[in-house]
Amino acid sequence: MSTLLQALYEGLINGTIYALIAMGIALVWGVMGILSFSQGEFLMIAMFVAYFFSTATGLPPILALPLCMGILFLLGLGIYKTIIYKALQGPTLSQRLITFALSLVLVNGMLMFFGGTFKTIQKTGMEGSINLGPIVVAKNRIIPFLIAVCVFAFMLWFLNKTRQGKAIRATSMDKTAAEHVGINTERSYALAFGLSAAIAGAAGCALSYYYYCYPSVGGNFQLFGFIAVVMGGFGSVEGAIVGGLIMGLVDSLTGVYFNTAFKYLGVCVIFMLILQFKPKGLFGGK
Amino acid sequence: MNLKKALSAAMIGSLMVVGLTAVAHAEDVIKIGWLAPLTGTAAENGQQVTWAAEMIVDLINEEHADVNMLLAADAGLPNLDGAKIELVEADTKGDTTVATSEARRLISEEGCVALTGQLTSGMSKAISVITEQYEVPLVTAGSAVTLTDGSEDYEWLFRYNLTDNTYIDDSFKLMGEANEAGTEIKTVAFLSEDSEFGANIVTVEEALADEYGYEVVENMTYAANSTSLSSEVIKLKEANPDCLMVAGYATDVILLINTMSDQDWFPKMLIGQRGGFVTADFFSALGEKTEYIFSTGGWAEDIQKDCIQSLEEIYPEYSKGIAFNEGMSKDCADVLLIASCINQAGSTDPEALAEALKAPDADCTQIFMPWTAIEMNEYNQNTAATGVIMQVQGGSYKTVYPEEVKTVDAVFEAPTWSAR
Amino acid sequence: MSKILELNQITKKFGGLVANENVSFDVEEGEIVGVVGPNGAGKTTLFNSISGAFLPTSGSITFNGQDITSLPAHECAKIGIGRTFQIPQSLNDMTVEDNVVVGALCHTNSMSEAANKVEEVLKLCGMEKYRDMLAGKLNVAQKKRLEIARAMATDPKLLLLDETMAGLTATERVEAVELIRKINKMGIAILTIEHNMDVVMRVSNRVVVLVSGRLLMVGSPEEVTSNPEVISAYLGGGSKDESE
Repeated sequence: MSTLLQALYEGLINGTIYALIAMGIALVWGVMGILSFSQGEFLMIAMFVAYFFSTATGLPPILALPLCMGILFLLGLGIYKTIIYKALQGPTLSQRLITFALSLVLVNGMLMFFGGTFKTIQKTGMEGSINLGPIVVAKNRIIPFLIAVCVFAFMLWFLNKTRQGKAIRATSMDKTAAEHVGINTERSYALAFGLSAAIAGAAGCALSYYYYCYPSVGGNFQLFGFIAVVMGGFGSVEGAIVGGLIMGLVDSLTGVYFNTAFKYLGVCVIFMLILQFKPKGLFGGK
Repeated sequence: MNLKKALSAAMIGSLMVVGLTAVAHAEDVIKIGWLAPLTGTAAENGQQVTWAAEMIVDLINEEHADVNMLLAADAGLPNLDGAKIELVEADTKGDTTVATSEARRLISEEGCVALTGQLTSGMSKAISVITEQYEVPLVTAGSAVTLTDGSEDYEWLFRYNLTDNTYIDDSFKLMGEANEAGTEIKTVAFLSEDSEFGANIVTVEEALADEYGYEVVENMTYAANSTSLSSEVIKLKEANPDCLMVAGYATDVILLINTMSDQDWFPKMLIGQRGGFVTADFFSALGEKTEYIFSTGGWAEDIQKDCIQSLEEIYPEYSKGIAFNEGMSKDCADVLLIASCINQAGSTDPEALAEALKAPDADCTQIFMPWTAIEMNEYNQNTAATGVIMQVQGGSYKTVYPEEVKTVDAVFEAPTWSAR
Repeated sequence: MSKILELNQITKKFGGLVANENVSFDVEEGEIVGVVGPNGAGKTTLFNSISGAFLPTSGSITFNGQDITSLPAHECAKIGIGRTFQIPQSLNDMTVEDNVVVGALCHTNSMSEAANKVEEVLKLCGMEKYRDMLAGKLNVAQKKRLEIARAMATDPKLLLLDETMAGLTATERVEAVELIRKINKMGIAILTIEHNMDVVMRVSNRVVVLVSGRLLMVGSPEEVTSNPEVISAYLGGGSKDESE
């Protein structure tokens, strides 16, 4: 029983990180039809920001959250304005590959400037664990979880309840119609790309609590994010969150109850099963 | 057409000039091919090992009477009129395909007389295809069983470092010492990454656990560069072995120890099988969490040999301050042995060099490894190589095994995380 | 009466294809102008140029005294040009209410102000009872009404209606005509593309006839229907359209 609870808990916690990555991918795809291969690298850059902030000031990484999100938002905006904007006017293939190229540039750029050593924040201000009877809750997983929940809540609120959010959703559903009711879809694009980078920024800050950081750290998270996005229904932000959480749970439960060597297999089997019964994903094809 | 002809004539001409130059200077500079990941995720470590190899080459080429290491006292190789060693570096990018094509280039284009480098077992196997074909010696520290037991019929592959069997045998002997010292170790668990490195180790671990009579309560493999090791730790915690043996690379070792600390579990003994446990990242990323962790090793910084102290002093000049460590020692020992054997053979002829590599007459007190002798078997493996087991005490590895070289006593029962 | 929209020699080419050629006409404030012509006459292209979706190849468009020739669509919407689409482009994953909210946010940042506008417009268009329905679930007639509602929420001075009647039953058409008249009574000028001649003649103050991208004539419904050139162009060019 305690093992089951612990496995569910750990799966959920890990799932929130996948969900954050997936959310950004879903947002960008939904709005502008671009596959954001650079989401994992945005996560990585935010981890570096959190790491350098925390080691330089001695303050806990949570305080770097505004910095992580802000820097990544601006970076995303800048990348949109300079690179993505141009690619969107080009052929489909270059739209597909541009973020892939971007991710290679970011990984190698960071490797050049900061080297490939593994960096972890050793003083997060949340060392040790709390024993809650059946489960052990690591203190340094509490804040990442809260960050993720806050970002989910904020994004759902933003997209559904605010003017810019509605503009972004309208743009993703029908660009032409949106333009004719006064929505600057160019701004929606830029904002959506910036926001998705900022979400990865939050994920990076959260992850820096317990994961090591190095230039290629984003790769596997990116991959899991993609699977979560497809699972949830391409382009659906809500679906991406659910997809991410399912990934975390399946990953953890397969590891504990079947075989740790088959963790990824479990994820892929569930992924294929979902696509078998709901080809457009859990939240797709309404 | 004319232009093409002229161009090709010019190219042939220049090639001949290059060829002639190579012949003219062949006696002065002897090239050793060095393969290491200089870009990609393993670049940091690859670069550090490469600096160490460069240091060894400089010590050989220049006169260092104060360093009690093979070939250090004279400038160059005395038996070849002071010929200098040139390390031709090639970037494997951590990719076997790249490594293979670079190996081919080092031999056929650069004219290297032997290859070595920072090579994983998988990579050594891939490169050996090339070195067997060109009949050029490959000296590797890669210790997968199939590289060491003669099953693959390698003629040009040489190993001076330990085999997995020795390392793991040492680990079980250490558990025996723990039991003698009053810490009861009955059950073991194995956690290994799922590629060549981990798979080979776990095979030996299983066999030896059986032989020494330990109960295996958990035996898991995981995919390298895992995003999470939570379920692995949940299962370990449930099985609660007295001793956990881990084979993994730096990324996963860091994540594992952090996850163990998060889930508040630590066994009486945790023995790492080198890999991620002997990298600089292990300490920089984990800090105090490394305390009490054991690792087997082919080297330890506190081994009492003159040349080790010298290298520890010199290396930081090459590495921007990073300390010389186990991971570097094995690979650059191979460079030293190749140079020493070329000197012993008095020639760069492959056959003569291979003969020397099969029976080096080097003085082991002048080699910066714990070995006291080199005895090569029919599979070109050094059976006299001895390893150590180190334990992190006070922030760095201290040798705790074997009895003859240890500098401190082992702590056999690690305190719980909360008791630290 | 002053002119709300003036088209001056509008030409739009797509590569070698000329969709509109030297089209000029005006719309007075408060007027309903019908645009007719056979399929491929360039009616929707003209709408796209006016509403900022396309940049005309040459010519100029003046709205309320302001040159808007090169103004992008979202700016056109902001200064008071609303439009609907031939094939309804509702935001299918949003509720009816949210569709209208998106339009209402054109002029305000405040969600409560927008909400007032939404009430007003939903009532006007008789869409209150569908407010919580997903737009994707509506039938064609309802979607066409939603298009109008969304455009109305942007507070237009000129409304461009692209085949609002197409695909509607006779009863629905009557309701739609009523709605158009109601909107026009609010002082909003309307430019409407329509295939159903009966409807055009009943609602329009004036009718513009386009044939093969060119302006054939502008006149009162009577003038247009009695013009032999129009009759021949119409019957010759697109007799099928009449069957709608």
